[in-house]
Amino acid sequence: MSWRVFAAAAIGKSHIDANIPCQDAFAHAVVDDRLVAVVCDGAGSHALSHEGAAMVSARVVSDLSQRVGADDGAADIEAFRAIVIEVVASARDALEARALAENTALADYSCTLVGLLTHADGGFFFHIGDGLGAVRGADAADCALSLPENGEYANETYFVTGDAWQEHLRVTSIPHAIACAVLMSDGAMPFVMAKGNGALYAPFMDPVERFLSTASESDGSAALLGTLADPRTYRITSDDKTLLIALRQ
Amino acid sequence: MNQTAIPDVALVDNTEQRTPLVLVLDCSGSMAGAPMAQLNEGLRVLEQELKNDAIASKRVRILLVEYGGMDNAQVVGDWQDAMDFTAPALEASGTTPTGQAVDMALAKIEEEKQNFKSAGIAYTRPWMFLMSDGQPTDDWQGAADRCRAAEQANKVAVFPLAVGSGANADGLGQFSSKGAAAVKKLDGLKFQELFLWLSASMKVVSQARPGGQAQLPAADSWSSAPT
Repeated sequence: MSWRVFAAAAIGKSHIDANIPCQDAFAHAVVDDRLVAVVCDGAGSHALSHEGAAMVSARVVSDLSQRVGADDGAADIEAFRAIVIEVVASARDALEARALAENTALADYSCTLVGLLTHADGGFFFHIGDGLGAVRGADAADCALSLPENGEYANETYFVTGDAWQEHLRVTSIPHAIACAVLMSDGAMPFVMAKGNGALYAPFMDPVERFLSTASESDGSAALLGTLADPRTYRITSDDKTLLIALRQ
Repeated sequence: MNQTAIPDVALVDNTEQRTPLVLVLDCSGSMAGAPMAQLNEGLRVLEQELKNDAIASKRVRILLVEYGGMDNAQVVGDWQDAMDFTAPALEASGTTPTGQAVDMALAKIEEEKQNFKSAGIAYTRPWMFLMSDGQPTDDWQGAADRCRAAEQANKVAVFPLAVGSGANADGLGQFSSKGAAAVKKLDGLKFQELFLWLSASMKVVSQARPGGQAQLPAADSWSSAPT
């Protein structure tokens, strides 16, 4: 059994029209059969948020991979939360250094973060702001979600770069072994999730999983990109759409 | 990149999100004739424009409050998703109870937010469009204070609109936290252009995403307000 990871970020229609880059980013690694994966969504109103999303996702995955390789005690949620705080703080430090060097501000790099670390018997979500994480066990009844956190209004959320990021960091323990893990940015949620975000939307996910189960990682990721970039999605959202699916096979 | 979608995937919108829009419309006697005909035509433009937009037709939720008669404000129908909205034929008569109408609109907005919350439906900040062509005839100061406070508390975005030379633009400004600067003056009777702008704005706002600043279309096709 090993992890196979498929991921793609498709630029949104409004970004194509306005000549703005895709502001979503993802990163993942497998260390000692443990999956580390992160999806970040750069804030639309901040000019360098695509760089923020790319830097935060890459650094958090790389730092966390090193930490869990060295420290196998991450099954305790409080210990894991402390590790995530260190790792995110370090990514923020890197952004601050960049902001100083480029004469920009930390807020210019604003992005959200939804991530996952697995272990043999389960794992943890870690999450700041919107986006969504979903996992399923070998028994389909074993499901867990990490839901988006918005303000009163649907178009308000919290960022890694915000002052109150630790208050908005949510760590959730997953109490069962994971067979399928899904992370997504908010742009993908309307068609990947069912109404009310209570579950993955089977008419989308079932054909995708069926296809990926026999595809190579590169072919599967390319097909995922084709799906996310399908013009039919323009009627659903004009936002960037990122989807990361990991299968344990 | 010429990759096609994975076969057989359903790509449908399961979002349940709404953008409430309340139109508070002056139907006093001074609106009789061409102004009311143009307003009604403008509402039909709004209906068509929103229905023609796949996303806005599902997300924009409209309520009309008309005020006129014997100092009477009333809701026309109920909240409706744009796809179900049919522009009514409003009639002009009577006085201008602006305060009553705004209090009613604020109450309906809070009521609808509670409905959204209990149904688990996400929503964006409600818009209140406050149109008048005259002087308020009721005790409107208290309502203006409450409306301004609601906007300051981010509960609603208020867009006052003065129609014709008889409108009390200074008074309308007191309903907005931005004061007189927020009041737009309708150029002549360009209600159609106004509602085209409003529907274009609603298309933007109903799709607004976290961290984004909604870039509204320019209002210069219908507004004579100095920029």
